[in-house]
Amino acid sequence: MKFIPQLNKEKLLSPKKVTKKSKVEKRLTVLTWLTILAIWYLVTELRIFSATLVPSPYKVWLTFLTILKEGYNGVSIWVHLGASFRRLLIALGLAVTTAVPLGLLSGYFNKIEAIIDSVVEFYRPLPPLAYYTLLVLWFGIDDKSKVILLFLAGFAPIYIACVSAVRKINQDYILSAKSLGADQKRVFFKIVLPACLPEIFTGIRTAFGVAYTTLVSAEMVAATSGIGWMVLDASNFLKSDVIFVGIIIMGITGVIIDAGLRFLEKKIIFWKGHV
Amino acid sequence: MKNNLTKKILLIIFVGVLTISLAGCGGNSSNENQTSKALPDEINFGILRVPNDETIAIAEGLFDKYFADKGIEYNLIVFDSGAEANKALASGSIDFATMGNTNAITALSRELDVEMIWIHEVLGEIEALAVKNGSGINRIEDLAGMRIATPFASTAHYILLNALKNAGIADQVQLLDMQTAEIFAAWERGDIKAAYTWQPSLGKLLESGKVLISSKDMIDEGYITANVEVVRKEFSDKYPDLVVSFINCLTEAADIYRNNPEKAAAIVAEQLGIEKKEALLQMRGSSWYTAEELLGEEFFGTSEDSGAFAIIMKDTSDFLQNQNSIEYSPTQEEFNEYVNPIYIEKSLE
Repeated sequence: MKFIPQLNKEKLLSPKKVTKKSKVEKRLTVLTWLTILAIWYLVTELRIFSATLVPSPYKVWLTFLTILKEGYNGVSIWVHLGASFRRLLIALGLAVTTAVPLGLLSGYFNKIEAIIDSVVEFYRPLPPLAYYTLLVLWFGIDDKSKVILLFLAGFAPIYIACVSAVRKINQDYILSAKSLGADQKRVFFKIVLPACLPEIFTGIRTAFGVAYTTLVSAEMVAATSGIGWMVLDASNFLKSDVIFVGIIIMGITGVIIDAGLRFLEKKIIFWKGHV
Repeated sequence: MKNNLTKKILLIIFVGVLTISLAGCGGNSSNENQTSKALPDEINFGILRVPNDETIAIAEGLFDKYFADKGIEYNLIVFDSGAEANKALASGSIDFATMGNTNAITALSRELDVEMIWIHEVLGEIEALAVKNGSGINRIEDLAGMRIATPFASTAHYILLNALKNAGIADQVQLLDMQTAEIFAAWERGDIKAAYTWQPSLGKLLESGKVLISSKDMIDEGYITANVEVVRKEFSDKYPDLVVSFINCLTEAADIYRNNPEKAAAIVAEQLGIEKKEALLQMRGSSWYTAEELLGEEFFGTSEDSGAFAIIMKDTSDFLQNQNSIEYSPTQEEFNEYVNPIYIEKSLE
């Protein structure tokens, strides 16, 4: 009862400051993009580089509209995006369901960490392309090898976030819960898991980013659909306008999904920053 | 006060960006001034690992004779197909590039500042559609509903598309874009049962497969493909003599094959890591022409009278445009200018 008004008071105090600050920052962000657009426009207008290297913003816009209307290579852009996101979501789903329990267990029990940690640490810094050829040899050219590549890319960040989250838990919470008679199971679900959730979410967001950057490599071998493949195929014919469109689409969808994840984070972990 | 600060920050950013971009331009132009010397410091060649005159020239040290001995450093950059070579040309990383004529068309269509100066070989049995033994595929029509791998944008891709079109099953197969080494791996795994590719990787597929149709069969139907050499115009304008030297170098290499096929096969076999017998077979799978023959009306023609190859290029280009592979199909006049016989003519003077 006493706690809640205090919270509100805090929230009431801060908005003014926050909005004022964010206004300036928003302006700066918008201005940065306007500057980038202006330079892009200028560079193409002055023909400093050939249109093959740097297509004009207008040309890219026209290509974007054509791709929206007619698709690429006779396949709608939504099918390409759908194919990419199907691979991405399956891989991330697998990564979350395996990395979270394994990570929490590793943080909890040193013996489990001893088994898993070194393997993760070994493959984590490897460039995905280096072992992708192997995955293709083992799992074939279909979606299986692509999903596994994205899974491996996404697994490490979530796992590491989980381990460090468990390590950071304030031991007082666990001890007090125990002294109040909570058993292991309750300690885990009532104390450990909620306390770790914020970091797990950060891990998932990082994992999404890493998996997304791996997407183009994953679609490099024998794909016939996907937004990454579209970019690669366009580069075979030096269609730089399509490459630009593909990259911009990837960038925007990436931002949107990250925003979605942050929204979820706020909804699920409403207590973040108050513990 | 705060507004002032933002304005100042914006101004600084704007000026900073402007200086950087201007400095970038300045750097470029001063570089160009520097290189206008009698000889370049180095030449970068984009090559393909295929049994052709260039491979012999490299193995026999002819590049040393024509370039290194003049004090020019040369670098050989291996590409899997002309599509990659095109990217390197676009960025100016290489001066010369070997590529399929389909890639050379892409280069012209995308306004890369290059010209075509040589035909290494006209492709025959060296590129073919291989199907796996026991797959039950005996005619092209049997491929309906199957997956076929090929390096996209290549000459093989072009011939495959036409063969499928002529058989009326173009929209009933799934084409997979793969590099030659990946095709072999997928073939071994059993992921694909058909692939259109070139030697030497084609040879590995044929160890457990057979040829359904080759580029030679398609020549009879009027679909001609070739590996050609393109050079950046910026380079050829500045050093026309070196372009001529390169043609002499290739001619000397091809003469080894013409005079002594066995010897040439041994050279190629060692360079590509294949059997000598295999190498000879692969080389016989394409037609090599002398400088005199290339100046005939069938190919380059002369500076006054363009030959038939420019027309082949235009036809191929129109096909690629129909496929939506290229957006713009250059005109016949542009192709006549692009397929440039002047350096071959000079090499014979």
